[in-house]
Amino acid sequence: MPTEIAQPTRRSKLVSVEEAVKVIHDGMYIAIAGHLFSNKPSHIVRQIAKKRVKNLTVSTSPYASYDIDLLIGTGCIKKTICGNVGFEYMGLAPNYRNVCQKGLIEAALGDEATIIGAYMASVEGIPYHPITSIRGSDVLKMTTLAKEYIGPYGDKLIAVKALSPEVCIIHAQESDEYGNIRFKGPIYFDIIMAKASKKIIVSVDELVSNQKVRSEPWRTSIPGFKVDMVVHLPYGAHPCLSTGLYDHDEEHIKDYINRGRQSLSGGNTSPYQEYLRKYVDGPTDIYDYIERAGGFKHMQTLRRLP
Amino acid sequence: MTTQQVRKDPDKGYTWAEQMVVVLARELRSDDVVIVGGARHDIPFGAAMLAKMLYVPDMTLLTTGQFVNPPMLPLEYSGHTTVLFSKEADALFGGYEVFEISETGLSVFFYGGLQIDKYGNSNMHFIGDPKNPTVRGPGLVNISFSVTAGRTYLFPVWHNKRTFVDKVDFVSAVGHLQGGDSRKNAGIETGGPVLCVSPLGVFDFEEKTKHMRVKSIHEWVTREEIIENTGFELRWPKKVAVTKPPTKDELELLHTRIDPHGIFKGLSGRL
Repeated sequence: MPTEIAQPTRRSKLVSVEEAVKVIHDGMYIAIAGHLFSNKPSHIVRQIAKKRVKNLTVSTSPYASYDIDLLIGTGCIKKTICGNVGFEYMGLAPNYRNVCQKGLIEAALGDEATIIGAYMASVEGIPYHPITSIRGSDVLKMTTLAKEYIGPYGDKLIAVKALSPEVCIIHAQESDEYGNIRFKGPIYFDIIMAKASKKIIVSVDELVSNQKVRSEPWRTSIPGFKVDMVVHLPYGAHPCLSTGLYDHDEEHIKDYINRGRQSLSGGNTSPYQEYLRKYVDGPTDIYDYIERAGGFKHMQTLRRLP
Repeated sequence: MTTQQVRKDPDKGYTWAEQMVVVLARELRSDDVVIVGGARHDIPFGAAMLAKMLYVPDMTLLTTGQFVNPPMLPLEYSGHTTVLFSKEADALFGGYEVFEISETGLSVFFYGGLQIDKYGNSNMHFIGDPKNPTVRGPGLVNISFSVTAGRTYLFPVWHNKRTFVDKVDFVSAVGHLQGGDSRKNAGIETGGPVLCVSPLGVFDFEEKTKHMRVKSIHEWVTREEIIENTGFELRWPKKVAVTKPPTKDELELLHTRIDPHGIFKGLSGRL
């Protein structure tokens, strides 16, 4: 009989949110995944905002919302690379609109082809990606993301310069402790953004066992070897929605927008500062945040079954 | 006349928004691949659902929530969430596919606009000097479809001199550029805007000049109202039609299945 060989176990990638945001530094370039108010890693974003990290460059999918507006409201952002930033039917993003109109940050003009093309260049390891589909638009004349050029075969093309975020932050519905990430709905641009980035941090609403993941590997969208850290944050997307699990919190978002608007129009910043004290700086952890945002009972009302 | 009055509803059991929805629905074809559901896309979303339910079941409907042929669920106040929790569709398409269709095109796309000009160019970005704007608009999630979609339809939800301008301050979505052959000369092979459907009427574009022309006037609107509220001189055909009002079936589906929350009745304050 051979003697038993001691086998080392796999390393867990589970960390606390405080541990996760230790890698976010002043002046860094980060990407925040999700789309509009779907699958936004809101609690990780609040943790970055709480640290008041400075001079971040942040890119998103072509449609961002709470993530960008909150980081602008806490003075974390120097430059954005987004398409539309707003809250759809609920209103415009107060802080984003304010700083853009006053020229207080650099807001690069982008849209789907320019931003996704730029991530794809990084995915493919090339310095830029050729696109053709924004010709004729004044966006092409003004954006810092794209330049026209003549290709080696004589074609008139547009080059969108590669975007390579230092860290990509994602919110998904499920993961095991090894960072095998599973979604319960559309994945938006998360896989492309993750692949374009050097480090990946994911918050998930629910932890599942590695055994379950391995029994249905076709459900894993981002394999664990790509992922650096996983943070278990129930309702971690709130007040944004998490696909397949819970809807956005309309009242919370409307209150956020109103506080932003009031503070900017009156010069009295207290309504927005109050928001920050209550939801960003005050909470000791996600459970404290949930309590302050209405408790599990309220969160339960946001759950949506098909 | 104030802008509010111009968007008045006819006293006929339907609203200006419902009239816009049915005009657009009747334009869609069986072999079309159509994408809807972007910001403030309620009118195209409703039109595509109505078309699929009543006229062209084979039309392929994509939503920006990345569903292929989602179930026909009532429009929610958020177009983004309308089909999002349904867990039912032919397929999902991902970020790469969005890039792919942006570059290679699809059949139909719909654009609104803070400003729309006489050649059907749409501005969603800047009012005034783009380098020092008086208004910074919401921007545009997808510009490409104005270049690569087979047909585009404009659906401004205001018709007044601020919206209908001689020349947009900034071209976000490409229309017929400076008219004539200018779109083709810019290297764009697709046809561009086919119709502009507003709360007052339906407008097409002259074959040669590509200048906006009146096609039909909604039945409760006068010629004078259109002239007074348009910031440039429209072309008028010899005979101007009256827009065909919504049929009984169209209204029934809109009221009971597509828009029970009354978004097209202005109940959400979105339009």
